[in-house]
Amino acid sequence: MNYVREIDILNADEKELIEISEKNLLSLDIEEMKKIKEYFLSIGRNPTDCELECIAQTWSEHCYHKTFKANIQYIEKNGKKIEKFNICLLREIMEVTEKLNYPWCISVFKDNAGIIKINEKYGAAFKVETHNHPSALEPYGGAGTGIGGVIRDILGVGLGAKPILNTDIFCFGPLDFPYEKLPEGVLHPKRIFRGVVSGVRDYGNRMGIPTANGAIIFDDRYVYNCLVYCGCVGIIPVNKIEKKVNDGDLIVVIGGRTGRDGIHGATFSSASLKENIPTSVVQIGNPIVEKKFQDVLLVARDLNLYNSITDCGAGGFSSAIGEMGKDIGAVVYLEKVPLKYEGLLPWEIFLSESQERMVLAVPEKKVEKLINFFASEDVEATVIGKFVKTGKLTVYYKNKLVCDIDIHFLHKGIPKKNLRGFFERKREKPVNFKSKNIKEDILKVLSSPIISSKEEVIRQYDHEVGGRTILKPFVGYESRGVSDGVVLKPFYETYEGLIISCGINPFYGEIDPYYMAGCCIEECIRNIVSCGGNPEKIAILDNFCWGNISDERELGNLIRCVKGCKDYALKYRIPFISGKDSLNNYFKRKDGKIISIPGTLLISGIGIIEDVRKICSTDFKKEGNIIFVLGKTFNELGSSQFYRVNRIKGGIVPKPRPEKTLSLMKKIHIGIKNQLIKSCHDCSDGGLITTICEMMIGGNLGCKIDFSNVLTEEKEIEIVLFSESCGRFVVEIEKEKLNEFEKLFKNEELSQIGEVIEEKELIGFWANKKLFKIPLELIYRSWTSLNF
Amino acid sequence: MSKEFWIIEIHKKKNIKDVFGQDTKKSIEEIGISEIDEVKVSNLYKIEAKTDKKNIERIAKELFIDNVSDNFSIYKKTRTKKGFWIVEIFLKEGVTDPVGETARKTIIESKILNDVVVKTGKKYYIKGKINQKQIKEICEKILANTLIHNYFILKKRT
Repeated sequence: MNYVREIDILNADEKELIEISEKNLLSLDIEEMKKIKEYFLSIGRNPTDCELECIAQTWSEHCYHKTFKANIQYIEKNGKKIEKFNICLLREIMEVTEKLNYPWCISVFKDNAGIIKINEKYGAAFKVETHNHPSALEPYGGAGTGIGGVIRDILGVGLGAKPILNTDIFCFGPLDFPYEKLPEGVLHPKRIFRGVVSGVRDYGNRMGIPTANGAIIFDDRYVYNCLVYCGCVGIIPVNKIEKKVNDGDLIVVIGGRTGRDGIHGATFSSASLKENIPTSVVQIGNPIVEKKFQDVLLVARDLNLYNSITDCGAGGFSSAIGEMGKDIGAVVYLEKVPLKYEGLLPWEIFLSESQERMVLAVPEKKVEKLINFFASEDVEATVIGKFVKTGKLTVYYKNKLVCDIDIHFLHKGIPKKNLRGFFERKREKPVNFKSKNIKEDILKVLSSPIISSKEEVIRQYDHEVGGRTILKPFVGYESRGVSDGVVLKPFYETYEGLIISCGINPFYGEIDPYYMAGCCIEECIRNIVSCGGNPEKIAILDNFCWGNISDERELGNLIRCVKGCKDYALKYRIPFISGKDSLNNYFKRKDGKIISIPGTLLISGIGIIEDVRKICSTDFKKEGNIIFVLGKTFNELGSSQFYRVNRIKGGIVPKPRPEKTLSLMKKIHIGIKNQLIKSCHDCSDGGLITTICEMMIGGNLGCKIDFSNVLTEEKEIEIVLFSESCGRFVVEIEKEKLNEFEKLFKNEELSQIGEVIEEKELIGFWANKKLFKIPLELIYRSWTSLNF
Repeated sequence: MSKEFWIIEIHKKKNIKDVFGQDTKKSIEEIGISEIDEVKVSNLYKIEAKTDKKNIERIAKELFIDNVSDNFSIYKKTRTKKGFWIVEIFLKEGVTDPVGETARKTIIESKILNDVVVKTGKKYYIKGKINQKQIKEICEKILANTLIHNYFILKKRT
């Protein structure tokens, strides 16, 4: 049988080159195909199918991040002013971390995840991935393997970290989207939603890792491309961060067997979704296999049985071995790879994205011990090749050479893309929209899909397993209030803690992606600070999901967003430690119309605190306590939930004020540490009123508020209640501590607005005149009204 | 003995609430097919091995059922049921079946058989005033993802 096909590119002209790329699902453009042809011309032969596939995977958007590394000519128009400059997106992000140069950022942007130092002995690793395309096609399997993949990223960072927490953030189409509007081949949002939630639940729960932080966003434009972000936090000893493959190390694959699953995942995920999809791109997860090797792997790490490790994700062995051996070279014997079933072609074995596999570099004299050790825990470990100093990636199948490419060409040969991006700033104008019935609007905002309680979803996840979760997703009375973030106590012997949270709001990006970036970064930090975090000990991760970036305007939006990330991260003095982008999330309808997702930025944050006993939750604690708003409210209702439920377009998007907010946050940290602040909740989606209602629900207490006392630029009820201005917190203070509190917050923007009361109702005043009275019961019912 | 296959069907006992069935019924109603009286769901294990029915019974009894809530039946060919449409769903060839794989290992480890292949599936009994077109719609929109599943419809016996 002829296992290897030679592909004639030496004699192909430009048109034929593109045909080859399309026919084999390579997702390579003409410049790249020409470069490949040039290489093979120089060595005087045609590539094999395996070589071509291997190059396509390595050069795919998913693995190489072509757009983020590209040289982009960017034009920004602001009224009559035109700015023009060249930009490299990845550099922009990395510059933040380099400039801040914190000693506690110990491994950034080079490994599978970013690592920050917790204490002298341990570091925390954090990584967030997306698994959008697979989840759109097979929600259960797609989401499960998304979680499985990011857990393996954590297992494969340094010499292996122990996963202790999963996060999940989803963007779906509206759950009540009409069936008749759904194009063929697209699953209904409700079905995707249920599948994704149960996929994350089953994988995380079965791995024994708590899933305790996340968010869910709904919008029409996510119907065709849902977004599924999966994150994982791990703990790693600081002396296990360095890894190095040595010449002569054996290549050992551990975990699951290889089948035809997920072939072309990397190249496929770099393309848009069309209406015909091959079965093979679907991946199915098996958490039991991953759980078994996780446990044994960490013991093998401490016994120093291997020199390096990485996970087999997109691109399969081709990617994992190619990446590990990129400074040396490797020889692989594909017939040694354990298969699920017979009949796979060599290139399929090399490229398969079967789940639950990892690749180790093992010194020859330790390999027997390692294999026996894994076998004792029922985990398959197989030698499939060797890292050898040849400078080449050489692959054999049954003595036949199927791949022999220069490593340098594979990793460095990709032509740099030259792209153009364009952004035109819109003039933001305030909208004059008056609420007809304030009480009704409050309830409408509370019951909107984005604000309302996601308890039904979150309760399906185990957020306790491992016993490290100190501040949980739910707090207060009957555990029904929401938390701003989650606090973990990773070690048995000390009180040190980690706080994890996120910030996401794609709607601000419709007006200006620059401020969206600022707002997302600030929301994430605010969440961490209101749990008790130290604003000077937070690191963040960026995850960009964008639409059709071959459109100059879409790319311009992305650049504008990256610029925002850089500027605001520098102003808040918060470093990026890792990131990922998923581009081309668009759908081409039969009529040729392209539907892109709204440019979506997820900022995930991890903060370190010295003592988990000095934290704060969001629920009101006791009647008689005084309620304050920290920060100032502006007329910033653009893309707010209030406008969304009333279908109002335009308006002014919130603008972060880093200096003010940073100084405020430092004081909040002190206030919480000294237990001056009884409860603290940040103001974001849904405005001040939503924040107050959520604190009431958590505390099962009412409150009396005079909204005219809120420090604001324009004294209008709609602005005070619903504006989503940044830099604001609601805090609860005991009467006796009032002086101490006011002393601490001297020179800050603060307004005393009311007090907590025993009667279970929200009584709103405006300049001593009663405006409305809403029973807590009704607030709670509206907030929990979303039917999943 | 030649290699043959049996299907083990695991269903809830009469007095136990069939939550999956009720959930499926709700999902069907949500796509606008409202005249559904009842939906019942069973788990299927397709066992391919050289063995006899007695061993298959042992597998079902000792490994697959929960004695408190489940009953099982064994068959080779799906039979119709009066008043019900029947839909059987299995994974397509080549799609990874983690539950089937775990079941296979368990059968071998418990020394009932030493060579076996297990494939898992689901079986739906649907009662209501629906036609062939509607049952197809239910299969494709709710029960199966045609990217990875094959489904078989067995007509209602009247």
